[in-house]
Amino acid sequence: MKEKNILIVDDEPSVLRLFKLFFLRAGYNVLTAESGEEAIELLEEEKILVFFLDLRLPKMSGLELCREIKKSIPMAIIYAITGYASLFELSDCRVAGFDDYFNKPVSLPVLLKVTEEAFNKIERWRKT
Amino acid sequence: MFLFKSNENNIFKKILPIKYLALSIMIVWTFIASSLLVWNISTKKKGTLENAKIEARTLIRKDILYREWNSMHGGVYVPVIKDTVPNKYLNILERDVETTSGTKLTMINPSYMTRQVHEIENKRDGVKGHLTSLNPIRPENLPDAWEEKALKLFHKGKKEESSMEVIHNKVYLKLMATLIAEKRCLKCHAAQGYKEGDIRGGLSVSIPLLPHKNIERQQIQTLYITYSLFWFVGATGITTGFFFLIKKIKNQITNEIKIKDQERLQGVLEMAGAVCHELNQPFQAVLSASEIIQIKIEHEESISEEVSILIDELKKMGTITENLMNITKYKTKKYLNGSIIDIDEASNYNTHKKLKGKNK
Repeated sequence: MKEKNILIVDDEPSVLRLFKLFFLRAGYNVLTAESGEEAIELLEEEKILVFFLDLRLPKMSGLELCREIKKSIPMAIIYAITGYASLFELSDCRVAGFDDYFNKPVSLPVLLKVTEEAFNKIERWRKT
Repeated sequence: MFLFKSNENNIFKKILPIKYLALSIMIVWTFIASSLLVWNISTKKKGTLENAKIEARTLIRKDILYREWNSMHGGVYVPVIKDTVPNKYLNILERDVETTSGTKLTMINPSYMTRQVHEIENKRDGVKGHLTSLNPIRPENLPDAWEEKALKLFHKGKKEESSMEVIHNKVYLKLMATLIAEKRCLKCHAAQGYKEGDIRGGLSVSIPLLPHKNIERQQIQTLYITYSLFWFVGATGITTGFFFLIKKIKNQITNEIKIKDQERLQGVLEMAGAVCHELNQPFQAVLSASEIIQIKIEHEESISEEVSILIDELKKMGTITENLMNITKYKTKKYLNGSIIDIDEASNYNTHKKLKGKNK
């Protein structure tokens, strides 16, 4: 797999900057968006398979964005990162198509590990 | 413990007026039932007296009928026996006669006959009859005090007089009716100056009230039992209604408390959501920046950018806690499928800050 594109969507610029810096150092191609609408525009331009989405975004929510991504890219692996979510809302995440979810603050090495696993999974799917 | 006591007080305060209401209804109900019982007993007692009066009137009426029968025949001859001797007050021709076979007969006039019947009646039934007049031929027919008073009232136009009297420690109904002088009566009484239609005297009877009182007592006992049951059914209804109402109020208060607790829990959850959401954002930045700093230090790279992010995020945390300390309103915002407290809108910290800035 040549290009390891990751899209991180969060309305907090400092979080986006730090995530981008970390994943770039880890060798990934990182794209960022501050809203769901911005993320959908990027999908049309770039081929992305791994996503980190904040659940609460200004207009379109993380749940809605996840559904949209799954519609256009069924193979996508999408992770939810949320500041606060009840058990009911986390169950909604599973229904919407999220592969896993993390409560903030989450450690960057944890995210790096799941990212590596996600790309390994995608690679395995491609070979079959 | 305090909340429990407060709820108990709340229930007690709501129940107290209901208790007073139920007590008032019970008092009114008891008053109505007792009044009806008293009224019924009084009616029964009046009825007893009326029944005795009817009996007395019947006896007098019968006496008058027999007297009329006797008078119709101008007196009746009967054999002279031990208890029926010639009437010394009857001054007429052929008062005493003798049959051809030698049997002595004497004439019995209506007064003598009535007196004898009264004696039999008194022995047999305890009924005391008395033929009386203010101006009698026979001195024993003089009225007693009660009869004298009644006779005087008859002369003023009254037709009947009655009252309850105690005679020899027994209660009697004493009733007296007028005796009017008829043409036939004048045969013996014309000499006293009576004319047809005059009030000649009165006929009194004293009926023993004990048999009537015995019936009355039984009827009153039945009334007591009936009204006790009547009162009990009503009282049970009032008590059941009271307890039903109390249960309803208690359930209502319990439900209100549950709703309030749910509202409080909702508020707590909204606040927890807001605190987690607002603080976890800078926490995430602080954690990520710290982890990158650690990596960069290992590679001896500049960490100035991450440090400035750390400072900014820590300042943000300070602002969030200031906002939390200055919450004065309840404001929420949508968060996923639910809602959380909108800390910025709910707090007046930023408003103060802005005002202070303007003043400077």
